[in-house]
Amino acid sequence: MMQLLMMSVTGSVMILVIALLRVLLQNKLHRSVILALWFLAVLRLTVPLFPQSSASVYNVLPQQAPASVTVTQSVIVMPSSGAPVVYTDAPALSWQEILSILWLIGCVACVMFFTVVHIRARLRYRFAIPEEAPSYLGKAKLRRLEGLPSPLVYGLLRPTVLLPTEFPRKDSAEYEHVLRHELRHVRNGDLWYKLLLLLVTSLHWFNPFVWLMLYLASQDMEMRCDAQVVKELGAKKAYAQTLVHAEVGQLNHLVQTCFAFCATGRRIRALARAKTHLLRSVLVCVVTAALLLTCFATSRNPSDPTPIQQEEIPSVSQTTEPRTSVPSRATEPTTETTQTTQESSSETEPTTEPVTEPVTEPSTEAQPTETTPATEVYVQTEAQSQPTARTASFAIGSHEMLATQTRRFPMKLNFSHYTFYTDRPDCIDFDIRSCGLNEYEIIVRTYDTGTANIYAMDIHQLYWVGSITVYPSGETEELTFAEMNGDTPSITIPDATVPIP
Amino acid sequence: MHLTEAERKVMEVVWANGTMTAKAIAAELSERVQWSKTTSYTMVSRCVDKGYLVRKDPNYTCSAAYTREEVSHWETDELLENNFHGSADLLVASLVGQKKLNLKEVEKLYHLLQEVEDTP
Repeated sequence: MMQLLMMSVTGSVMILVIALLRVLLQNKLHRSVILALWFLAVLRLTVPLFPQSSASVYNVLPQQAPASVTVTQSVIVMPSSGAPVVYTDAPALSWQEILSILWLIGCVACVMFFTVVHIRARLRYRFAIPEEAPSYLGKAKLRRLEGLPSPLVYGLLRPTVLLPTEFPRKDSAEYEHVLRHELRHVRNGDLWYKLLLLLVTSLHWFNPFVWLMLYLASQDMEMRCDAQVVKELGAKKAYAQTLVHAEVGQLNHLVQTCFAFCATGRRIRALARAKTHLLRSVLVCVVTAALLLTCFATSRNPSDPTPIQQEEIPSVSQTTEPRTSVPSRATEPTTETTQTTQESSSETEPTTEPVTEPVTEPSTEAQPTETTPATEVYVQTEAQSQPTARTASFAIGSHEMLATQTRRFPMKLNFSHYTFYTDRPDCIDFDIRSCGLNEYEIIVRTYDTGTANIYAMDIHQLYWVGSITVYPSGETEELTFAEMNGDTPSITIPDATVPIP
Repeated sequence: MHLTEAERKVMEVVWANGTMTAKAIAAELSERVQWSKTTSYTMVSRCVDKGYLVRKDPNYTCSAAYTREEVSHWETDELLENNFHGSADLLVASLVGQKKLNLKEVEKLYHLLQEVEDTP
C-alpha cells in the first residue's frame, strides 16, 4: 500500500513534468514521443522496482520516519526467568489496513464504472449495419449506426470502425479522412494503450494527476493520428474541415477513440502549427526519458552507516553466542492469531545467568512467570507484506539515544513472514527494512548499556539474528548477524558467558 | 414516423419474404447484416413494439403492418432519438478529453480553419 502511494506520488511528478514539456514543446515534438513519455509514467506508476540510482531524488527526501504504531500485534514479555511469552492483542485495524481497504473499494468501483459504460456502449453498437469497407481498411470492419454522435473505432481483437449514418457520406473526401484516421488508431495500438491507461487510472483512482494523464494522452493519440493522416494524404486544410464538420455534425465508450469531440480546437491548432522535426524529437525524448528514469528511480542508495566510531566488527566464529539469557520458544508465536492480551507486562532486567536452552523442534512451552510491575512495554508490529515494508518499533519511555548504527545482512527468505524483536528493548530499538533483493538493513538505535539479542520468529521457529553490545561510551560491538536462509536457521543458542562491562 | 436503418433491415426481410416466423427473420438477418440471434430477436421485438410488425402466436409469426410504399411516404418529423445522452457518457467523455461544442466554440473552430494551410 505504501508502495503504491510512493509510486503514485513519483508518478504524479513525472506526469507534471511531461505535461509541462508537452505544453512548451508540443508543436516541435512528434506526438509519438510524447506518448512514449506517457508510457514511462505508466511504468513508473505500475512497476515497483526500478534500478537504483544515487542520483535518485529519493536520496534527497528525508528517510521515512518510523510509522507511529497503532496496532499492537504482539507483546513480548520478558519475565525475570528469561522466558519470553508472546501475547497477541485482538487485532485492531491499523490505519494502513483501512487505507488499503478504501483503495480497493475505489479501485473496484472505478473498474466497474468503466466496464459498465463500455458494456452499455457495446449493447448499442450491436444494431449497427455492416458496410462495404475500402481496401485500405484492411482487417478492420466497417459499420454504420444511426444516431451515433461521432465516428469511432472499437474492438481490441476485432477492430470495427463505426460511423454515424449521416456522416461521412460514402465516397466523399471526408470519408477517406475519417476512415484513415480511425485506421491509424488501430495500427498505432491506441486501443491497447487506452486500455492500459484506464487500468492504471483505476489503480490510481485517488490521484488527480493520473486522470490528467488519461485526458492529455487521449488528446495526444488523436493528434498523432491527425498528423499521420495528413502526412499520408497531404491535405491539411481539407482534413481540418472534416474535423469541424464532424464536430458540428452533432461518447465514450472508453476503449474506443472518437473522431470528434476530442478537443477539436486544439487538434486543428496543432495541425496548423505543427513543425515537427523527427530527429530533434527523438533526442528530446531520449534525454527526457533518461532524466526521468534517473531522477525517479525507485530505490535510494542506502545511506552509509554512521556509527559514532567506526569499528572493525570483531571476527567471530560462526556459532557466536548471544550473551544473555535465551528465550525459549514462546507459546503460540503466531502473530496472526488473536489471543487476547491479558496485561501488558514489563520487561525486566535480563539475568546474567546463562540459561541455555537449545531451541530445536517446537517443544516445551514456556511458562510465563510473575513479572515485576510494568514499567515498559515493548511493542512490535508485524512486518507488512510488501517487499519494502519495514517493521516499525519503538520503545515506550524515553531514553536518550546513545548512537545509531546501520548494518546490512542478507536474507533469503521473505522477511514479512517474520516478526523481529529484541530481548532488550530498553537497550536498543531497531528498524529492519529491505534494501534490494534479498538484502536487509537493520538500523539500531542504542539507548542503554547491555547486550541485546535480536530474534526473528515465524510461525514455526525462533531464529537468532544477531547481538549488539552497547558500552557505556555508546560504542557498540556487534557480534554478528546471522545469515538467514531457509536451510540454516540458528537454532543453537549457546551460553552467555561474557558479563556486561 | 421514421424507420431507423436497423428497423428498415428487419422490415426489408419481411417485405421480401412475406409473413415469417421470428426465427426465420433472425436467420435471414444474420446472413444479411451479421447480427447475432439475440440482437435479431431484440430488433424484431422492437419493431413489434413500434407497430411495424404484427405478431401472431403461437409461432411468433410476424407480418408487416405497412407496405413498403406506405412507409416511404412517411415524413421525418421527429428528431432522431439519440440514445447516447446518458449522463455517465458525458462524464466519461469529458474525462477522456472530449466534450460537445456550443455555438460560440463552433465559430471559433471555423476561424481556426483559416489558420490551417495546406503543406506546399
